[in-house]
Amino acid sequence: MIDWTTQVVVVTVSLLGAAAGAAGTFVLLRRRALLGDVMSHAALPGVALAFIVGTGIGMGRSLPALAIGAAATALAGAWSVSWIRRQTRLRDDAAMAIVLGCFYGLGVALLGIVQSMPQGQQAGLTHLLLGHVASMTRVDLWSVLLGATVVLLFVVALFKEWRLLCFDEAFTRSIGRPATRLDALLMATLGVVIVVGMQAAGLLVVVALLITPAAAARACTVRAGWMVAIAAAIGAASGAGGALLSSSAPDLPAGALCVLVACAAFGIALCVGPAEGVLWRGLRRWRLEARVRREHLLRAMWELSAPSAGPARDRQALLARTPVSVASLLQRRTWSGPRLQALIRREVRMGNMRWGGAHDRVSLTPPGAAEARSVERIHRLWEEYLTRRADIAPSHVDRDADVIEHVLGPELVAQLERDLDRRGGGALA
Amino acid sequence: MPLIHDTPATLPGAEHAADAAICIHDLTVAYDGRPVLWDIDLDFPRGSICGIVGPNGAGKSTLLKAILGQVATTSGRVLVHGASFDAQRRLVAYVPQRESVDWEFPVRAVDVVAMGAYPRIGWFRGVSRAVIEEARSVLDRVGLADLAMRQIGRLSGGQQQRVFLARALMQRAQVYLLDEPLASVDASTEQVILGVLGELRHEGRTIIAVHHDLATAAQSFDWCVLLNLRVIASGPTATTLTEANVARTYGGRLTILSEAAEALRQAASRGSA
Amino acid sequence: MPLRVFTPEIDGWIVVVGALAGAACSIPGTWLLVRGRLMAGDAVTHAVLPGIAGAFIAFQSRDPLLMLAGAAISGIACLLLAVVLERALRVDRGAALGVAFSAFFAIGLVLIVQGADRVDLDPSCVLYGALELAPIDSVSFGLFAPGGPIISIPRAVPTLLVALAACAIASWVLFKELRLGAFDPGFAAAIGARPLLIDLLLAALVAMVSVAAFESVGSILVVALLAALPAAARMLSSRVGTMLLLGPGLAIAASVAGHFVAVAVPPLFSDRLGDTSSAGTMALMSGLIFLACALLGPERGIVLRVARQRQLQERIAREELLALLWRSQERGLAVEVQDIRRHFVTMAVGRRASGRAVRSLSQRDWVTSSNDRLALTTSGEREAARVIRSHRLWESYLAEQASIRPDHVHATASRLEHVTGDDLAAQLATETNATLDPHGQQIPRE
Repeated sequence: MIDWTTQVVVVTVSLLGAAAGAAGTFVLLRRRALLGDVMSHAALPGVALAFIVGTGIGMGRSLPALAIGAAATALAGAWSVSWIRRQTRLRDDAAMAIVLGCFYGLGVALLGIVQSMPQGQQAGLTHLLLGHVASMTRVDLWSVLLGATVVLLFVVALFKEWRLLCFDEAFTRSIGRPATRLDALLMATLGVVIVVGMQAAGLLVVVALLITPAAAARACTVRAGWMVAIAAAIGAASGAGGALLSSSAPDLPAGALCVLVACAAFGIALCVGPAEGVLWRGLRRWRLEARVRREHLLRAMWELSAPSAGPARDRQALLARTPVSVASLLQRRTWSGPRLQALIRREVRMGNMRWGGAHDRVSLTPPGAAEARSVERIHRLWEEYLTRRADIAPSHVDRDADVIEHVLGPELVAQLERDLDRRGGGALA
Repeated sequence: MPLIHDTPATLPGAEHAADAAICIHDLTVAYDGRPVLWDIDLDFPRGSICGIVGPNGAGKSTLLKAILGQVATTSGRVLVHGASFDAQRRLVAYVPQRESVDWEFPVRAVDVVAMGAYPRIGWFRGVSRAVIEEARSVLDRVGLADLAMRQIGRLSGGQQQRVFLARALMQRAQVYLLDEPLASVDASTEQVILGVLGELRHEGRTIIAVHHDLATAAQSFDWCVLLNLRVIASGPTATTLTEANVARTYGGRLTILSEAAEALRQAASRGSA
Repeated sequence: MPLRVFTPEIDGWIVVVGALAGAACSIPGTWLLVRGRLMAGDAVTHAVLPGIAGAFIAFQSRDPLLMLAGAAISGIACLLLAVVLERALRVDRGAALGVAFSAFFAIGLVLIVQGADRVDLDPSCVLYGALELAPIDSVSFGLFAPGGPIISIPRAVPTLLVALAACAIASWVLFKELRLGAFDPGFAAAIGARPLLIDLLLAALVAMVSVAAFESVGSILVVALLAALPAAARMLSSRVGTMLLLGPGLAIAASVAGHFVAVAVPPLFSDRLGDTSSAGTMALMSGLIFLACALLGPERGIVLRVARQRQLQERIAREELLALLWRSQERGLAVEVQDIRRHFVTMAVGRRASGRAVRSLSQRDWVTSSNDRLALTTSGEREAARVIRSHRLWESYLAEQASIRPDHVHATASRLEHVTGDDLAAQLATETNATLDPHGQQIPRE
């Protein structure tokens, strides 16, 4: 049975993860993934300043004051980044690094003052950096609940506008949407996540949950709406997973575990994500290469039969009996000897070819000849299509397709075949 | 009697001239299952100005990158002066598209031009005064002598293109690969670039340029490759850049076709005059 | 309370260590800046944690060399991971860095907690660093022969000197390769200059300086030094070589100013406050130095640019006013101040600009005013004629040579007239050869 404290932690961290994942998606789409990192570090001087001022006017350590201070300097950091970019022609990453380093430096200097204050030792401000997920309180739960609700409401309400802003800022302006204000709202949302998250879980967890779930979602889908949803789900799952893991292994820091769970999700998404999964891409590439090589072999066999031989059906019959020397195949294309041997062996195994002589000649079997004819036909049809439909062709050509009709539709293929016949391309159908 | 067809004369590889500047055989480049270049067999003759012409997305820039070994190929090989690109790197100069660099970079025009000499200088050694002097004289050749000390971003687009050409000249290569050298440049830059390319050809060097503008292709190049995923036609401009071939390359794009037909008429009338 | 007395043994060494750290950081920082990869510095400074903790746990010793080696290895590994994610797996550049360094940092935290019962290592020490403690942690060695004078210097000094020397030598020897790899990686690849190898070298330099510097200034403050000092140098120069030389100079300034602020500022608020973190104030000072350079820099400085823009605006306002007065006199109309105001508002120049323009014209004795009515003086007429002339020449040119409809040329000509010098006007005059503009008005002669 999970105890009450753990339940609080799990719920809080997963809410935080959902909010961070959703907000982080837009920041990633805006190609400023590290802005969350910059703003989190820039929040530090605000916290320290709020503490110093709060103590100075006798309020002591007041949570709302710390939150307001953190949000103020975090937003000032975001504004500084865009100011530097606009005014100095330095690039994004330079502006971000300057702001991150210098705001943080100010924060450290102010923390140094806090430490030397009599009340400073109990301020407990350092945990903001490394987190204290396990010792979360109900105040944290409520503040995260409030913050996450606000963030998710904003995301739902402004989804359309933010998506437009991320995709094409100039267009957003041109249709009269207030791009600057939309951007500011996005930053404010980010600020909310950072402030409640730092208080509850620490800077590291917030930064990781802003970036990693969004990057993982990017590999899963190409649609922004799904991306937001998936990122929120991965964020929530990482939060819950990390908290649960740490409850079973209390020596391990819960915050770091959340981060590592998110990273694992990212790794899995990257490998098998339906949109950009490395595995699928590699597989596609490997299949295509194998296919191209096989086509080259079969077409080389086809071409090496008498070029002037009559109609395709007779030629197919002739071809099935004609041995071709491996040496001439080798010259035909840019393949190495061993690779060609491997290709032939594979076709022999499949019953499409047979060896002749002392393995220095090969010939097609009747099914192999039919296969070669079909490969040649598809190749010719694609060529014909590229010529006929040159305006739209490149985006539609799919060499990976077994049946050209599936890609182009039977009517178009019939039309292409008629054109091919008319131009004397040889009756391959 | 078994028919054996292995006489060299019938092999498609045989028509590849051994003395071609660049010889491409069997080249297929695919991106995520979509072919970008498909079974390319091409020779670029030495000492000519070759244009690679074709619609957007036809794989023109990819072809240059494949020659330079900068994209993974699915099959095929590329020979530069009869050997692989890696072995012949010194023979090839490359002028990328203008968008590919950061123009705010703190570097002067003359420094950029001197970069063309880096393969000769080698690692770990500095750029000598002689190289800088040579870079200045090359800048003079493209008409930018007085802008040598200016930061690269403070030149106009056409001037930047000329700096890139000057950098390629510094490489003292045999084969020059240019990616859209005449895209959105001013008239005087176009004149300078075409003039320099003509000089290079006169010296027996080979120029291969990706070109998007059919209207000027006929007068700029003496060898043409019409490309749309595969090679539609290649050969001397006069016989290759025909209305029929252009139609097969560009398909139903009427506007381009009429533009091309106009260009061809102009070229024909100039040829007869 | 008076300022505490600066002591060379303490404060002197703090400033020296800070300046050395800043100088060492500024060199790879310059390369990262021009390569557009400054946030990689942030990633490395986080990513050193697992290396330090790992070396600690594996060898059970606090040997600084072992820790430096571990930190450098994990820093480079993190950058490599980010490069693989970005290049091979097509993850967004920022996201790739973010994922990589947060994972490394988390692993580092887990390692520290795991090894906590055996070793004591405080992660916040890695984050903050302690420049103030640098003079205490010192090494002593005999000078010349045994028995000679023994000197004692902070351990950070030789470490940072080695890092600084390594960066300086690498930048000197491989200057052209580093610059080429940063400027045009595609071209570098084409000529066989191996941009990936250059990037790797840069990653190694960054890892080395952050490792050497984080002990004294703290890892995240390394980011400030890596970024702000080279960026400040960029504001002052548009050549990489000059930037590399300016960096260390700016580092000395940041270190001196930073330590002074750390000591002098807290007591201003309360007597009971001691010094604050010199590393923090040094980072802050390097940021302020950047700001100052951005504002006051030559050529690209913001102040200069704003001033130039303002001058141009004022000249446009003056010329608009001259043209208005000329046209009114041509038609025999009197011009009052409120007419000018109205005209300027419709021209979107602004109400206040009109007052300034009137004042500036009177100062130059180009207009005289009586009872709120303005009239051009002789010298004012000459100036106005010049403006009107270039306006009408442009109108003729645009209508004749550029075939723009006569009713459309006014707006374009109004913009161009302000940037037309005498040479250009003369050229326009020879090309158009007109005496009347497209609206049939006289073009004033010179």
